[in-house]
Amino acid sequence: MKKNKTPEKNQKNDRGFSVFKEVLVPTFSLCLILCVTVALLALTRHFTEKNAKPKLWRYEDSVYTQIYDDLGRMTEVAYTGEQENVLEVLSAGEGRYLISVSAKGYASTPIEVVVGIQSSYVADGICVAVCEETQGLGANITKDKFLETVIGEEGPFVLGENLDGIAAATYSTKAFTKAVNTAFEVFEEIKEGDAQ
Amino acid sequence: MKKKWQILTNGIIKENPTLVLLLGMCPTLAITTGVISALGMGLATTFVLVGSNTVISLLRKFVQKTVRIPAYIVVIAGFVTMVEMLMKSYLPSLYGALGIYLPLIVVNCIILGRAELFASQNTVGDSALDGLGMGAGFTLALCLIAAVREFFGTGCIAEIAITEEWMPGMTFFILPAGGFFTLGMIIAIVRYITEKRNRDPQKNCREREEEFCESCPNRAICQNEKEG
Repeated sequence: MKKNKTPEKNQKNDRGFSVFKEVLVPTFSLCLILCVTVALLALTRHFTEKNAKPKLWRYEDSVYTQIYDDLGRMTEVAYTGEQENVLEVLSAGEGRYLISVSAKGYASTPIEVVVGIQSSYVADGICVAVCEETQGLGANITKDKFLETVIGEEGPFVLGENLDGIAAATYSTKAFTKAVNTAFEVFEEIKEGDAQ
Repeated sequence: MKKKWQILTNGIIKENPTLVLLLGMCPTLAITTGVISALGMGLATTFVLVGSNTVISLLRKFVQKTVRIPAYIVVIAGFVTMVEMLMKSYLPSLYGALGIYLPLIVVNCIILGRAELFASQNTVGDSALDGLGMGAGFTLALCLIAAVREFFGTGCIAEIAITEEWMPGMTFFILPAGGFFTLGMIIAIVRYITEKRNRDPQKNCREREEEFCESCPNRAICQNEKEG
């Protein structure tokens, strides 16, 4: 009987030992690495969050001053009209409005365009604030060379008629045109509202 | 000292991760439409490579074999998230340009490959040097491909107009097909140069074999087979 019991006991010991070595120790080491990583990430977040300044409006001031360089105090206009994808409407005084509109281009993130308007269907300035379109193609909508064909011209714009698109960037140019035209419509609605 | 120098330069020329080992092809083809984004991607990957190689080398005796891959992934993902937070905070425009490819550094074959093949078997200093060399090689390869694609595609290099005014860019180079074409041509040129160098009659067969074997990740298996 004794002879039979001893190997069984040894087997149990072996099993117990291997569970500790092969399950508990690796799990513990992995948990420890995970905890240290999480702590370091929390520390990084703490420092990087401090750096981010709270923004008064949707974008950095430089986006708005690119359109009107003599910007003074801006006030938000509550927009309740029919147009979709309107992100922000700001009144910049002297009848000037800064209207931000988003539109889906080629990239998964929609483009966001800020249009400065003072008179019907004419953009005083345009800034593409968010653009993750393909570099060298769709991203060309952010370039001055393209924007100059729209700024100061009379809209609404139709691709191929009063606006030349960018070759191989149809989705992006269509999204840009849609955003600018929506901004024009928003401006008209605000003007009508003021008149009433 | 010679060994350290060799570790550092291995990743740049002999074992270039993009042009020789053909690792990390996804970001290579996606990001190389502009030099600036290629440089940003390269530097972010270098930071992650140096950091993860150093930490993995430090932990090589502590981490059990059975959980080494999840442990490496945790370390690499930690570094990538740190880079993401720092870039979002200090370089928001580059963060936007890199998009989804920045978090995808976690699954970049170069990083996991170096962690498994080098950092888990070598000292901390050597692993950091290997990470730096590999990162530099990756950055240089990305910038080279991006410069060619941007120049022929838009007439600019790093958004500085060179031939933009008088020669319209060939859109083909900016499209994915152009990426494959450029990458293939550059790999062919690199192979031609390295093979020409290896065909040097001054070197005997043994020397050439040793030089080639030195950079091979399967060296240990090969040697065992030869001996066995």
